[in-house]
Amino acid sequence: MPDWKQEIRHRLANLNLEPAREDEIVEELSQHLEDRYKESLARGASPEDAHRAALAELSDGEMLAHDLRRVERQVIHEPVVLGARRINMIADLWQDFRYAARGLRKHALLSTVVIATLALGIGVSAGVFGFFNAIMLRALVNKDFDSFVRVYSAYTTNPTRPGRPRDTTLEDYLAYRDQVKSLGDLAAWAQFDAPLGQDDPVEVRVALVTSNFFTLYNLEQPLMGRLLQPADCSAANPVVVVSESLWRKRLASDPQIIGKAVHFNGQPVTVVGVAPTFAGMLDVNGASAWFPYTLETYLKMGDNLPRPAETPWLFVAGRLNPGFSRQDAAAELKLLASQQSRLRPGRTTMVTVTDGSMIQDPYWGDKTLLGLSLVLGALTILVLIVCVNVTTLLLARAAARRKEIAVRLALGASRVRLVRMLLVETYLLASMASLLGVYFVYHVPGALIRWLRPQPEWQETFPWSLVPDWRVFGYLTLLTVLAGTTAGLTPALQSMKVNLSEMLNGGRSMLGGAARGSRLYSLLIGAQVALSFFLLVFACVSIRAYQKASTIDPGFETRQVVWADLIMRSRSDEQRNWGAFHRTLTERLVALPGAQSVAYSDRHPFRAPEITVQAPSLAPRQVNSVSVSPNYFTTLGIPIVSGRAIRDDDPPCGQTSGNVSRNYGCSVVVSQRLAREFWPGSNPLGQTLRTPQGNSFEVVGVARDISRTRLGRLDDPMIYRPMNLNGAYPKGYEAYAFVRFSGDGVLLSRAVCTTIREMAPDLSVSAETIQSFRDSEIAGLWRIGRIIVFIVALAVTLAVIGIYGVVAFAVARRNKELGIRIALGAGKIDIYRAVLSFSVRPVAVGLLIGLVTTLGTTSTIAQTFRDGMFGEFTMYVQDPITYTIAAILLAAAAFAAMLVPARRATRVDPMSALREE
Amino acid sequence: MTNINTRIFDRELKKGSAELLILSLVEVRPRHGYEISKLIEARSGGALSFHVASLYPLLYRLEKRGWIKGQWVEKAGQRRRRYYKLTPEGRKVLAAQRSAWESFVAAISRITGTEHA
Repeated sequence: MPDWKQEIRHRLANLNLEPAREDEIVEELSQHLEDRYKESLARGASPEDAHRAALAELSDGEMLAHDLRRVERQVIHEPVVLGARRINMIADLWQDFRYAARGLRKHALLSTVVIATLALGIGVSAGVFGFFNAIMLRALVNKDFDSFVRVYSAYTTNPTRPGRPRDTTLEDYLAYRDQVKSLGDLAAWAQFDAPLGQDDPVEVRVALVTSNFFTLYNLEQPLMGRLLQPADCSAANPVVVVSESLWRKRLASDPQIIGKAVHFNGQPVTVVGVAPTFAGMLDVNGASAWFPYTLETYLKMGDNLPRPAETPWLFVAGRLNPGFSRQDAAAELKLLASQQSRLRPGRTTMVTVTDGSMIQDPYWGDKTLLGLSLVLGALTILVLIVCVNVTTLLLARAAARRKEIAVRLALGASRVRLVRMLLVETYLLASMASLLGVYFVYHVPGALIRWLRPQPEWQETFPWSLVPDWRVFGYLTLLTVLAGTTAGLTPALQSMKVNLSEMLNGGRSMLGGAARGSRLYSLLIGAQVALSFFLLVFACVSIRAYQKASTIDPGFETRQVVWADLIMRSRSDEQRNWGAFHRTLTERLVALPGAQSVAYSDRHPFRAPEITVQAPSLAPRQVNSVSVSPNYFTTLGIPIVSGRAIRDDDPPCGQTSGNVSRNYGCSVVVSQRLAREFWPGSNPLGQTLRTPQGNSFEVVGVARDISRTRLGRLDDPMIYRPMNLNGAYPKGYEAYAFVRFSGDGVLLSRAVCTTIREMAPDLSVSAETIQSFRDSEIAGLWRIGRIIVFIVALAVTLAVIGIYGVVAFAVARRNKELGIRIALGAGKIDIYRAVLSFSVRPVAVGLLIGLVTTLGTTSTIAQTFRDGMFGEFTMYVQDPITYTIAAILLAAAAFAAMLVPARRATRVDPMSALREE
Repeated sequence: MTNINTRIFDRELKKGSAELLILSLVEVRPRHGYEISKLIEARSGGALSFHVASLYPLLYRLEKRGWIKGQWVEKAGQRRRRYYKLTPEGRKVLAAQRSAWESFVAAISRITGTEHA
C-alpha cells in the first residue's frame, strides 16, 4: 500500500502546524488519495498508473501549502490556554479562579491541610480579638452599642490643670438629665460594697442607681416582681432589686422573696424584684443589688456625703437620641457644664463624652490599650507563623508543578500572569479558611470566658454580648488578605525564577537545585524558629513571673497575719472615744484563740501614699509614708535593724491636712533604703526630716526594707510614723488592723469580723490573711497570662509542624542523592548527619535572630509593664534563665521535628530512589 | 492538461463560484471531501474538477467561517472519515449566494450573449 501520509507530510513540512492539527489534515487528505487510488484500480488501471493518478492530485503542492497556510494561520493565532494578552481582565480572573478550584480539588489532601492550618491561625486570632473587642473596644451593653454614651466630669479650681475626669455631682447630673436634648435615658449610679445580712454578714457589691438605669441597660422585664421606678427615687423608698445569682446564692432562691425584708449594712430594705443577668452588672465583679440612689443616706454608704449635691460621686451614662451624634452630645453637655460652673464660682466643670468602652475610659484607657497591644502582637506573630507554615506547604506543591509552569511560560504566558494565577489559588485557599474562621469567631470568645472564669462567685452567664461586630470581621478580612499574600507570594516569586530549558528537558542538576532551594528553606526554618522564640520567651516570662509572685517573700509575714479593713461608713455626730475603742478592740482581738499580737496602720498594706520630706541641706524628695501603731513591726515581722521601734509614748505627728502645724519633732522609724539615700555612710539615728507643712521628724530607728507595693522589687524609701489612736476622725474613720496568729486563718478572720461588728455595728469590716489577698490579686493577673500561654503553645506547635514539613520536603527532594549515598555505602549515622546538617544551621541562626529581636523589644515591654495595666508587677523580662529555658525548649522541639524525616531518609531504598524522576 | 491560460482562467472562475458549489453540495446531506470532488466532476460532466490542493483549503476556510461543520464519523469496518454538513449560517449564505449568482449570470448573458427581447 503506498504511503500517502508521507507524501502529504512532505508537502506540509514548512507549515509548522500544531501536531494534532497536522495529523488531522494528513489523515483526511490521505483518505482522499486512497479513494482516488482505489477508484483508478477499479477502472482497470495498473497500480503504478493508479498511484500516479492519485499523486496527480497533489501536483500543485505549493498551492496546497500556500492555501493551507492562509487558512490555518488563523488557527495558530488563537491564544493557547494562558497565553497572550486578552482584553477582558474579569474573564481572565474567572478563568484563574476556575482553574484554581480545579487544582484544589485535585490536591485535596494538601488543600485540606492548608485550609485547616490557615483556619486555625486566622480563626483563633480573630476569635481572641473578638473577645477583647467585646470587653475593651465597645460599651459593655448587650445591644445598640452605637448609641451608648458615657459621661465623665472633671472638677477643678484651676482650669489649666483639669485632673482626670471621673464622677459627676448629683446636681450636675440632674441638670443634664432635665435639660439635655441629644441624650435620652440619662442614668446615674455609684457602686459600693455593703454587708448583706444580719448574722454573719457577707460583703456584696451593690449599686445605687436612678430608676432609668435598667432601661439604659436594656432590661425591661425582671425575673420576679418589678424594677425600680421614679417614685422609688423621689420618695426614697427603702426598696431593692436583687440579682438572680444573689437570690440563688444568698437568699436560698426563696420563691416568696418579693416583699420580704433583707438587711444591707444593718438597714432593712424590702425586695421588690429579682433581675436576671444583664449588662447592668457593670463590671466583672458584678453588682448584685440595685437601690434607688436616694437611699444613700439611709444605707450609710460612702462617706455619707455631707453635701451630695456638690460632691462628685456618680457615674453617668445615657443613650443618644435618634439624629444626634456623640459630638452633638459633647457640645451640648459642654454648654450645660459651663452653666453649672457658674452656679459654683471658683470651680470649673469639664465634661467628657465617650462611647462607653474601656479603651476610651479616661482612667483605664492607657492600660487597656497596652494590654490590647500586647495581645494583638502575640496574635500577629501567631498568624505569621501560620503563614510561614502554609508557605512551606505551598512551596512543595509549586515545586511539583515546575514542569507545568515551564510549559505555560513557553506557550507565551507572561510571568505576571503566572504570579496572578498562583496568587488567586492562595487567596482562594485563604478565603475558604476564612469562612471556617467565622466559626471560630463566633465560638472562641465564649470558650475563652468559660476557660478563664475562675471563681464560683462569678455570674453563671456572661452578662455582656460577645457577638462579633464590624471590627472583628474587618480584622478577619485583614488577616485573610495578609495570610493569602504572605503565603502565596513566596511560591509565586519562586516560580518566576524557573529556568525554562532546564525544566522542559526534564530533571535538574542536583547540585544546582540543592543550592538554590536550600537558601529559601533555611530562611523559612529560621523565620519560624525566630518567631517562636520570641513568643516562647514571652510565655516563659509570664509563667515565671507568676511563679515568683506567688512565692516571693515581701519581707514581712503574710500567712500568719490577718488584716482587717475597718471603715466607718456613716458620719456619726456623736464623738466616739477612739482611744478607748482601740484599747478595747486590741484586748478583745488578742483574746481570740490563736491571736498573738495586734497592730494598726492607717494605710492599705499594699498601697503607700507619698509625702515630700527634706533633710537639712538636701533637696526635697518623695517618700512613702504610713502611720502605724507601736507593735506594728513585731506583728508584721519587720525587723528593726538599728535604733528602736515606735513606742506607746511616742506622740503622734501633726496632721498633714492643714491643721495647726505643730513644730515639735515626732519620732519616726525609717526604712534602710531611706537611710542609705538620705544619709549615706553616716548614722541615721537622730537625724531630722522636715515636711513643707512644717512638721519635723526625728529618726529613732531603722527598719529593714520590704517590698509591699512592687513584687520582687524593694520599696521606695519609707517613713513609719506613730499613729494617732486617740484622735478624732471627723471625715470618717478608716484603719487597718493586723492580727498575728497561729492556727487557722479563715476561722480567725471570721472571728475578727464578728468581734469588730459586735463592738461597733456601724463599722464595716472585711478580713482575710494577707497571703490570701495577694493570691487573689495574682490570680486575676494570671487570667490574662493564660490566654497568652495558650496562644504561644499554639504558635510553637505550628512552628514545629512547619519545621517538620520543610525538612521532610527537603529530604524528599533529595531522595535521589540520598539513594546514591546509601548505595555507595553511607551508614545511618551519615544520613542523619547529612539531613541534620542541612537543618541545624538555620535553626541556630533563627534562635540567634530571635534572641536579638527579643532582647531588643523586651526592654520596652518591661518598662510598660512596670507602670502599666498590671500595676505593681515587675516582669523578669531580661532574666537569663528564661531565655535559656526557651532556647532549649525550642531547640529540642525543632530537633525532634527534624529527626522524623531523617529517620525516614535512612530507610530510602536506593534502587527506587535512583529510578524515580 | 489545458494550457496555462485556461488554467488561470479556470482558477479565477472557480474561485468565484467554488463556495457556492460546495455549499450547495452539502445542503442535502453531509458529505466527505472525496465524495464532494467526485460529485463536482460527475455533475459538471468533467468540465470542473477539484483537486486536493484546491478542495481542502476551501473546505477548511468554509469551516472556519462557520458555514459548514466537519465531523469525524466512524462507520463499521472502515477507517474514520470527515463529513461536512451545512450549518444554519451556511444555509443563509447559500441562499444569498445563489440569488447573487443568478443575477450575475443573467447580467453577463445580457451583455455578452444572446439578447432576449
